Parts: sequence; structure tokens; C-alpha cells
Amino acid sequence: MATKPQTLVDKDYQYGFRDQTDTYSFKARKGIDHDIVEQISQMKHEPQWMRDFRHRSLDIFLSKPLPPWADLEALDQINFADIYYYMRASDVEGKTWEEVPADIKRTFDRLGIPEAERKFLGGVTAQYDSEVVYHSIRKDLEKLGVLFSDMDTALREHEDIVREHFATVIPPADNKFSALNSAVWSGGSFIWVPKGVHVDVPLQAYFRINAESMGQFERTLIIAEPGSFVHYIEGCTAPTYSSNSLHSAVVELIAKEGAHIRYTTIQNWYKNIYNLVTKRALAQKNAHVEWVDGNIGSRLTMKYPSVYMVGEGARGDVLSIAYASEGQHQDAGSKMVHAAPNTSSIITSKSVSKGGGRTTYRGLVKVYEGCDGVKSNVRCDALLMDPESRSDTYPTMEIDSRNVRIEHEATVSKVGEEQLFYVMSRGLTEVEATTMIVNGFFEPFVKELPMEYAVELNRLIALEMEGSVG
Amino acid sequence: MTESTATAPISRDLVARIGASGPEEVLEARLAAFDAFESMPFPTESSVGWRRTDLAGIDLKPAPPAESVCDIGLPESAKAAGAIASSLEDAIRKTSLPVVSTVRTGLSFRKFSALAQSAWQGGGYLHVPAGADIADPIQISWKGGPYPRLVVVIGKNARATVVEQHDQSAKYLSGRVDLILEDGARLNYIHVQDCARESVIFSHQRAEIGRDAKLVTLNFGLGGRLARTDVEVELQGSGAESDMLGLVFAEGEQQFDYHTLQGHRAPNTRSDLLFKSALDDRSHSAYTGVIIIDRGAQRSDAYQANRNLLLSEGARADTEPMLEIEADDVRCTHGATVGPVDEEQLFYAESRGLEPDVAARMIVEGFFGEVFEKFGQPSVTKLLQGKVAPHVARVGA
Amino acid sequence: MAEKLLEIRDLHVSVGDREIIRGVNLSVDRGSVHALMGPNGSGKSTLSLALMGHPKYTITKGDITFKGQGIIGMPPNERALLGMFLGFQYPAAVPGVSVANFLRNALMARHKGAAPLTPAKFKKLLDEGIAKLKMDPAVLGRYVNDGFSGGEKKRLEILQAFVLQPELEILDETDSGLDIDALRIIAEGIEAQRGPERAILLITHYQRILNYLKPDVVHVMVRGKIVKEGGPELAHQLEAQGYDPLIRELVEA
Repeated sequence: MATKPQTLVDKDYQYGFRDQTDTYSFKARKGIDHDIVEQISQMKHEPQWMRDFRHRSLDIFLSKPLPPWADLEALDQINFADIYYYMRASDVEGKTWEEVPADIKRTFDRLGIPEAERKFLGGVTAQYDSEVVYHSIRKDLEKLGVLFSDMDTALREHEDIVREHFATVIPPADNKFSALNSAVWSGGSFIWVPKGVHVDVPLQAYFRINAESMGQFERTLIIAEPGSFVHYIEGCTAPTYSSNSLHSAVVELIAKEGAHIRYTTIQNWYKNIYNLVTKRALAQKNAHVEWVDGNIGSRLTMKYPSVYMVGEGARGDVLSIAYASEGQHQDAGSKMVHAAPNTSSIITSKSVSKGGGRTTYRGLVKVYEGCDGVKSNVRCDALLMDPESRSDTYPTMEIDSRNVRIEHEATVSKVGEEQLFYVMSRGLTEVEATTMIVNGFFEPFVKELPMEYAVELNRLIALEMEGSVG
Repeated sequence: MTESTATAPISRDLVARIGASGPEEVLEARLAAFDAFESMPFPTESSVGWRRTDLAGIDLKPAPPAESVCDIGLPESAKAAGAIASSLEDAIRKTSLPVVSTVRTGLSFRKFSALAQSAWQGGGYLHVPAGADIADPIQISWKGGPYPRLVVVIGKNARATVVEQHDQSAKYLSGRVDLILEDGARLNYIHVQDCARESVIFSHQRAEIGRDAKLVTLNFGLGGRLARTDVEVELQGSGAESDMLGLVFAEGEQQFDYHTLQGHRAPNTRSDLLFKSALDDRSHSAYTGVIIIDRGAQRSDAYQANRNLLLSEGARADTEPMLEIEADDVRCTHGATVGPVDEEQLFYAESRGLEPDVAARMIVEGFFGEVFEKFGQPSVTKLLQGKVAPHVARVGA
Repeated sequence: MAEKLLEIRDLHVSVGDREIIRGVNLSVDRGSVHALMGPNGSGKSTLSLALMGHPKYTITKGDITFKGQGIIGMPPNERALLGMFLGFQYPAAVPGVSVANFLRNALMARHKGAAPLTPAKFKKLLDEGIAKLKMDPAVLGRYVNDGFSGGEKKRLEILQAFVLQPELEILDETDSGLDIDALRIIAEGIEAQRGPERAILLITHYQRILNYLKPDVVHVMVRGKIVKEGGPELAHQLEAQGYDPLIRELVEA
């Protein structure tokens, strides 16, 4: 699971992986069928159960229709036959800096992204070398008994744990895209936190990004044993370029009794990407799961981080922001399923649409019969920056228990005229004032981010606003 | 075409026969509605919008068409002002063109109420002429016939209050109401549904509101085994306003399913919605409401609230308040709540010496009180309170 | 002779079709304190918002000059940079933006191009203002006017004036809705800003703030016009008799 190419080769040799001479050596090609799935699995030398799982999932993917409620106008643009479903790092490399779109380069400049990172984010190199940071964290984690690796390595080294939990939260049949991911997944993170262990540092995919972890079909599984805590951060504020237009991840979290998982995402894919992600957590007795989810990039994002509260006293929180500008549709939301008494959930969603962009909040709060003492609060606020933009809110509440407290509130408006005038009367231009108000609107989200992300996000909003007003 | 309707006592031929005596345009509208009925699938428990409805033991099969007699009680003041009340058939026969066009337009269909647009017989028509100001409520009551179809036209700057009540003995009703408010008109419309407990009721109310006109609707739901009501309001003229109120008391195995639309199609329009359900025993309420603000409908102001009070362990409530906003200079807010009787309120009332069940009843009355207060017509409050009181009296007992 | 800082000539202001300011003439010298009094609905707040350039208020006639420069049509931020400041009667909340961040941005806008204030100096300035207005230092971390009480909002307006050091302060009913202690603190805060370089136009309904803050000139506005001008004694007269005699006089005339 090391990220240096050499170590990769060394380690893989141990498991009989022979990159050059293997007769089954993988040839990247477009399209998806059982042959591709077989090749992926063989090349990874996976156990039979995983191979079967992939094939089963592919059948589900092929038979399942697109969800009828989705933005089909956008989804129908996806040509599933014209996509690479698996690429090795060596396939990714070889692109040149010249191929990276100019607007992305400009944003890198203005955000002050370091050179090495730019190349990675631009998809020119498959790896971003931050070994030093990464290894020091690794050492600390090892001492605590925490397992942290990419998913492929985890399957080889900790097959029993993976097999016990894998796809138990999100079965392939959950939806068309979870089925697709289940068939062709590669990379992603695996974290196992032992009982009672509190991981103080946020674990960041950013430190160990490589072609696979930031890839198209990553698969992440986080298991927090009873009483443990872990914070995981994925993505970054800088725009992320990929020539492949489909990204479909599956993220499963399992918080056992009294455990606490926080999962932070900042997604800023380039505007050609379809980002169709399934994220779900299982929260057992008194467990707490928080999703902190920011969506800024992509052509279309469909993502509804969920918490299934199956043990008494479990808690689920989602704090999300979405920003959609020209040509973008952020279709995001959350599902909170209360399947045990005295469980509670909070959803806070904030969105900004600009320049004809479209944001959608789609949510479900479900309370099963016999679940007394459930509390749920949903709050959605949407800002529209101009008459061309659009905001939709589709919340659903299904309540089968009496002694519950379920609240939902949503507002849609533009930046208040009085607010704008007030800020401008203190000397700020219209653009500066608008930027300040929009940054303030996102502040409840931003303040949950590590400092470097927060600063970058604020700067990014400022860049976006410059184009929008006046 | 779905096969389930093949056995139904209603067919395209029958609709054609019913419409044969009327003008061609009306027949066409009847057939279009029937085709719409046929093209929409018969609901099952996995159909969108029906997933949470328990259809076991409920017969959705349409009833054979028969004449619906509409009794419109015009108060003297209305007669003096020149209001016209008649059957819809008569109104069409007298070739008042706006009637025909109203019957033909508003081609917005729902599965079952589309039958009221196709197989109606008799029907009701009320026209309040421009400028008339009728303070006394106009009572409309229906007898017989499963497909009541009502058209109400309020002329320019006219004002009226209409109370519509159904035949309480009906087992199957599928009604359609069209409310047309011309510019500056003002209408208070009360829909009272207190049909028999075992009945299946569909109602589709659609309103078109002109410039600076204002419609206030109050839907009162008390009867039926399964009652599905669609209330669609189209704010078509600048300055148009709509207040939509709903009040449901459900008990036993009753299921209420409300769908509302606040359609802001013109700038400077305002809508406000408050639907409240109190649910006892094993009853179920499903509310789906959407606010649509069209591109260009700037300076729209829309509000929507759905409140559900669960009075019993087995009661269920679903709520889906939706927003589709395509203009930026708007204020749009919605809220939904589901919960039991507030413990603090209960404690407060009990601390004043009230028995818990008395206190609970008082709180339910208070819960409804907000709707009555918003409607602000004491005679209507009295009528509805009288109807709901015997049911509220059972709360906590 | 004192410099004319603000000069308003025959100003007419409308909101929609309704004319609210109907020919106001007013001039304020640098270094002076003016009180603009009048009953509710006389147009005082409209005048203050129009002076600051609120887009809802249309100037249909007349002229406003500040430091000799015509400002009609100028966006509010440019008026601010020129040295004008409005203390709002109903300041808007800016959720998510801390008071410190807000003020830092406002100061940065003011010192565009020039060497910015060092963080230490900025902090010192804020601390001084906080102490002077007897505010809780925690206010700096709170979001601008978000969940503030009426009194807190008024203090924050004065704190901003203290930090931004404008040349003309227009204070719109900064005294309304305050208890007696808060009124005294705020009045002292305003008094402290009095100086030869600055003018203050205090808009108020009541005379009571003038017990702490002696104006040089008092103007009385009724129905969109200045109907009377005088010294501090005019305020006392209004306090004793109310606005009714003035209104009657006007109606009779």
C-alpha cells in the first residue's frame, strides 16, 4: 500500500504479481462487460468471493435502469461504452501539462497550489509525493493498531475484516451506480480503528493521493470498533481534472457501539465529470456519524450521504454545501433512517446557484414504527445569484412512530438587498460584498474544515464571485 | 391501456354516449380526459405517490356513471347581484362560451378525478358577475352521482364565499372543481369532505387566478376510508394571491393523501399554505406539496407549512414539501413538522388542573384554531368545529 | 469660515411612486453636530438612506454634495470611501461573517493601495472601541448583527464608526429602543467622536439623547420638509410640547 512505485512492485511480487509477463496482463480499453471485470479481478489476484461479487454486481448494473427521479437530461449524456473502467497508474501517466484546461491552470495560480500538487490535480502525474508526512502518520497509527491502507491492499492483507464488512452497508443492488462500482471498483481507502482508540489526526486521502484513491471507482470502507473515533478527509478544494468523465465511488462507514466517525469531503471535480457517489453509514448503539460534505465541482453530482441508525441512541449529522455555476447541477442531500429508539439526526444543507447553475436538495427522513424519542431536524437554505439559476428542494419524511420530533425547514432567496447595501455602505464593492455574504452563508460548513481547506475554499468562492456580479 | 379498467363499468364508448348530447368541444374534452385516465397506470403500492398507501381492502374500481345533482343555494343578495347558478349541462346548453372553454381547458389530469372530467353528468355551474360583492356564503351541495364536476367563475372585482359539501352517503366519489378568478376577484372557497367512513374519495380542485385576484381555500377532511385531494393553484396574473388552508382529522384506518401545487406563473404573486393533520388510531396522512416559481415570476413570495399531530401510537404521517425555484428575486420558505402533543403544553394545561385527556383535546382544538383564525370567517369556523367536535371528543378517551 | 462638509439642496426623494422627501435643504459644517428631529414617518430615515445611496430610494430632484463633490448616482461603497458613514436604524445581519472579519474588510477597502493596518494595531483599535462602548469582547467573534439584541446592534454601529473614523457620521435613531444606561454609554461613545475634523448628523425622534450630546443646530422635519431650525433650545421646546403644535402650524399654513 506504499505509494512509491518501487515499493509497489516489491510488495506485489510477494503476492505473485508480475506486471510485465503475466499472460492476463490488463489492457486498458473502453466499455464494460464480464471480460473486463474478470481481467480486473484476475490482475488484482482477488479471492473467488470478490470475483463472484464483481460479476454479480455487473449483472445488476446492466439490468438496473437509471433512477427515474434523477436529472435524466444530464445522465443520458453518459456513454457507458465510451469510458475506461479501469486504468493502471502507468496508463494514466504520459499525459502532458499542455492537455490540462487553461481555466484550471489559472485557478491553480490564483489559489497558489504548489507545483507538485498541480501536476497531480491536473491528472498529469499519478502520484503526489508526500511520503514523509504520510509515513510519520502511518507510524503513529501502527502504534495504535489502526489499519489504514488502500482498499486493494486491505483485501490482500486483511481479507477477513474486509469480507465481514464489505458491501454490508451498501449492497450492489442499492442503485445502478453502486452496482457499477461493485463491479469495477479499484482503490479507495480502508480504515479499521480498534476498540476505544481515538485517532487525533484527521486521516487525509490528500496525503496519499494516487491514481487509484482519487480514481473513478474507488471503494472506501471505514470500520470504527466500539468507543473509537476517527476523522477522515477526502478530496481537496483545488479543481481536480480527469479526462475520464464518470466518477462513481462507494463509501461505507460502520460505527459500532459508542464509536464516532467524521467523514469530510470536498469535491471540486472539473466541470466535465459525472460524480455519482453512494455514501452510507451504519450507526450502532450510541454511535455518532458525521458527514461534512462540500460539492463545488463536476457537471452533475448525485450524492446523498446517509446514516442508518440501527442502535438506540445513535446520532447522524450531515452538514453539506453545494455550489453550482454555469452548466452544473449539484443534486445532493441526505438520508436519515431511524430504525431504533432515541436516535437523532440533523441535516444542514446550504446551496448557491449562479450563472444558470442548478442545485437540488433531495432528502429522506424515515422513522420506523416503535422508535420512540426520535428527533430529526432538517434545515435547507438556498441562495440564487441571478434569474437564470435554479434551486429545487425535494425532502421526504416518512414517520411511523408517534413520540418523535421531526422538523424540516427550507428557504430559497437571493442575496438580500438590505444586506448588500449594509455591507457596501462600509466601503466594499458589490463583488466584495457579495463574496463576503456568500462566504458567510457557507461559514457553518467552512468552520468545520481544517484551516488550509477553509482558506482555500474562501478564496475559491471569491474567484467564483468575481465572474458573477456587476 | 391497462387491463384492470377493462372490467370497469366505464368505457370510452360510454363516455362518448354520455357526451353525445353536448357540443363537440365538450365531448372532445371528455374523451381527452378519459384517455388520460386510461394512460395513467392503476396504482399499486409500489407506484410513485402510492408507495405508503395501504390499498388492502380498498376498492379503487370506478363507479358506474350517474347524474350528480348540484344544489346551489343562492342567497338573495347573490340573486340581486345577478349571480347565475345552474347545472353545468344547462350552462353549456345556453352556449355561454366561457363555460365551454373552462370545461375544455385546465387540462390537468389526475388518475381518478380525470373521470369527473370525462363521465360527469349534471354538474354545477356558478357565475358571479363582475363587481358583485356577495357577503353571505353560497352553499353548494351534491346529491347522487359519483362524478361531481363544478365550475365557478368569479367575475372582475367580484367577491364571494362558496361552501361545497358532498353527499355523505356516497361510497365512491371522484370530483373535479375549476375555480376561475378574473382580475381583481376575491373568492373564499371551502371544501367540506365528511363522507361515509368506508368511502373512497378523489377530489381535484384547480384554480386559475387573474391579476390582483385573491383566492382563499380551506379543505376540510374528515370522512372516507381513503381520500385523495389535489389542490392546484395557478397564479397567472401579476399581483395574484392564494391562501391555501387544510385541516384533517383522521381516525380508525383512514388515509388522507393531499397533493398541493402553488404555481407562480407571473411576477409579484404571493401564496401561503398551511395544512394541518391530527391523526388518531391507525390513521395515515401523506402530504405532498410543491411550490413552483417560473423563470420570470420575479418578486414572488411563497410559503408552505405542513404540520402533523400524532395522537396515537399507530398513527403515521408522511410529508414531502417541495420547491422548484427558477427566479432569484423571490422569498420562498417551507416547513414541515411531525410530532405528538407537545409535552410542555400538556404539562402547562395539567398544572392548571385539567385532566390529561381534556388537556389533549384542548390542544387539538388549539392546533386547528390556527387554521380557523387564518380563514377568519366565524360562520365557517362554527360549521367545521361542529363537525369535528364529536371526533376530537374521543381523543385520549 | 468652517468648511461645508455636506450640502443638500432642494432634495426630492421617492420610493416607487410615492414622494417622501419633498424639497429638503440642509448643510452641515465640518466640526459641527446637527440633530435632525421629527415625528415618525416624517422622512428622516428615508433621508439618511438616500444620503448613503440606497437603491430603493430615487432622487427625483435636487442635489447632494459631500466635500464639494456631487454624490448622486455614486454607489454606497464609494460614498463610504469618500468619508461618509451611516449608522443604521435597522442594521442587517450578515450571518457567518464575524465582526472582526467584517471590520477588517471594511478597513482594507478604505486603505486600498496604502499600507494596511498591522494585525496588532487593528487589534488595539478594536479593543479600545470595545472598552469605550463597554461591549463584551466576545462580540468580535460573533456574526455581524446575527442574533444581536437591539442594544447590541446600536453599539456595534458606533463601534464601526469608531474603527472606520469617517468624516461624516449620519446616525439614524441610534438612541431608539435603548435603556437609560445603554443610552448614556452610546451617547458618550458618540460624544468621543466629536472633533474638528468630523461632523455628526444625529437623527432622532426624542430629545433625551441630546441631554448627553449637545447639538450645534437642530432641524425639525415634518412630512418630508425641514420646517424649523434652531439651536439646542428647539429640542427642549419639542420635548415639552411635542410635534403637534408644529404640525398644526403647518396645516394651518
